[in-house]
Amino acid sequence: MMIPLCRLVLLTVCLQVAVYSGRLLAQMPNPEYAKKAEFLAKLPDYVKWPASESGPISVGILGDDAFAGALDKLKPKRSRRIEDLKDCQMIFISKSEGAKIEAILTSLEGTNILTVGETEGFAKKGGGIGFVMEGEKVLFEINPGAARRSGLGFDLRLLRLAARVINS
Amino acid sequence: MLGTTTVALLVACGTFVAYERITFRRAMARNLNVLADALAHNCAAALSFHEIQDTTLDARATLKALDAEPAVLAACLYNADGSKHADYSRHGGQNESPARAVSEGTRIEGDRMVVVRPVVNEGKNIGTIYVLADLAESNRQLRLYIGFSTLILLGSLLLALAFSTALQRLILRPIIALTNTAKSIGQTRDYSARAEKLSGDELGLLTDAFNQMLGDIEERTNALERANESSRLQTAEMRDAATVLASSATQIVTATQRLSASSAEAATAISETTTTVEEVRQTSQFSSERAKFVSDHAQSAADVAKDGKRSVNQTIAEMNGIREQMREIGENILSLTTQSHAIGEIIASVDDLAAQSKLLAVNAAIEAAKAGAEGKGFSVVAQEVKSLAEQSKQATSQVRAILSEIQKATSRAVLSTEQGSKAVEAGVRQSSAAGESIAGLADSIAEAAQAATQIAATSRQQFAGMEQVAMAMESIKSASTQALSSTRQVENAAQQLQQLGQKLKLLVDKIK
Repeated sequence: MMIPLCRLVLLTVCLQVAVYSGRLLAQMPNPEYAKKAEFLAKLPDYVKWPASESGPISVGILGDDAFAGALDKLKPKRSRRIEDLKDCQMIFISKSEGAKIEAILTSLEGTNILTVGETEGFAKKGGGIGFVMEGEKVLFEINPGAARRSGLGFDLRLLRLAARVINS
Repeated sequence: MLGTTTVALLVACGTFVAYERITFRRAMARNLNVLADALAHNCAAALSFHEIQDTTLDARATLKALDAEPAVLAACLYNADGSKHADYSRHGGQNESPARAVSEGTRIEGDRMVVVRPVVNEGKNIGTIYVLADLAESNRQLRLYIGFSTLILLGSLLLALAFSTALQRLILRPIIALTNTAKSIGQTRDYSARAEKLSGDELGLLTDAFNQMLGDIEERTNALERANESSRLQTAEMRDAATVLASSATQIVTATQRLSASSAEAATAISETTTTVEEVRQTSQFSSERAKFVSDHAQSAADVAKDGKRSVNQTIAEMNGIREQMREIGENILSLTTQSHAIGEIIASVDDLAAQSKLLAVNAAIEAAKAGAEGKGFSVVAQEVKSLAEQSKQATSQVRAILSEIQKATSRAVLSTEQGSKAVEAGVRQSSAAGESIAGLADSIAEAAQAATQIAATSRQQFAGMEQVAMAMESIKSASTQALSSTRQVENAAQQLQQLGQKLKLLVDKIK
């Protein structure tokens, strides 16, 4: 009887350590998301927002939040339902929503919301800006046409830095 | 003259060169600043996102645009932390930009110009841009400018020399003549000298104007001398006047001192007079009161006189009544005398009758005695008649005696009456005289009363007049006091005037 008890205790301790270290890991974003957060923070300066907008840009995160607090200075609104985020001006659509991208983008048509995604071909599917990875490097594709449809515009200086400019 | 022109030209050329240098550098600085700002704007996104991806190539491509500006030697873009982000150098040579960002501004370092500007996006300072330019071009232009200026200067000098030689002949000679004349006049002060007119042009006119001016000056100098002479005379007159003024002031002082003394005396006299007037006023008051008293008494005397006159008139009237009664008494007495006479006649006849009766009685007795006893009764009657006749005779003699007494009394009464009448006449006369005297007295008293009333009134007026005189004397007294103080002031003023006169005299004496 003593042995199974010891095992149980050991197992519990191991589990605790695993959960704790996992939480620790989760608190430190990986370099990829640190860079993406930095990009999202600076992006609004290079976007022409509708004239009616003023003050700081409101940001929403749809799906899993992989930023681990790196985006907290923008005070993002988090949700798994796109309807909750329609009052945001810029929405980051997480990898977790990969399957529903087309439906989400369709539902956002006719709104002044800038979409930023990280799934493959996001910009081509009608998103505003899509992150693409080239090894460790974080690059982005940009779709000025999609932005124009949402009543937004990109600074030409931003376009110059894009890995690809898609106009669809 | 030529020297002045040369200096002026040199100054002008130097100024132009300096101006050109300054404007060129200012234009270049402005140009470089604009260029740096444009590059900063274009590189902003590259600087913003350099942490996310390598944007150096993009920035370098932007800086490559500087190839179009030949003066720029090098440029460099720094991150916000001061580290180098991207750089540029002309012809790919050695880059001369510093390794770290330097302070902002526009500076000239030797023959290089450095412009450092901030990179700003959406109000945020995200980096610095550095541009280095060569001033050699500017210096070359400047040298060219100086060369041209020297050429122009030399050409101008030659031209000026030629002109001045020609002009000297035309202009300088008359001016020198004028200058010499002016100089000699300055030394000799002889304003009758005149400049020689050499030409009929503007210089000839100048000579004429100069000569005219000399004429004016000569005239004015003469006038000035004359004015000086008259002023000297006036000063002498002024000195005399000042002397007179000083002595007059002294006299005034003496006079005012005397005036002051007499004013004081007058004040004393006025004071005494005031006292006298006061006494007179009191006397006048007393006499007024006395006059009133006399007037009152005269009035009562007049009343008494009036009463007296009335009494006299009454007396006269009564006297007249008495006279009338006396006259009546006289008349009555007269009729009484007449009746007394009638009574005497009646008595005489009664006496006769008595005598006859007695005679008859005696005759009757004789006859009765003859008739003896029968006659006896008759004899008694005869006896009785005889006694009656005797009694009648006796009575008539008594009546006659009484009547005689009455007649005597009547005569005496008539006399008395006449005397009384005369006395009454005299009384009436005397009463009338008394009446007249009293009337005269009453008139006199009335006049006296009237006079006394007038005197009283006059006295009152006099008293009022004296009051006014007293008041007037009081005002005269205060006026005299004021006059005295005024006189003192006048005295002071006169003394000041005297001092002033002496000062003026001294002052005038100083003017020679």
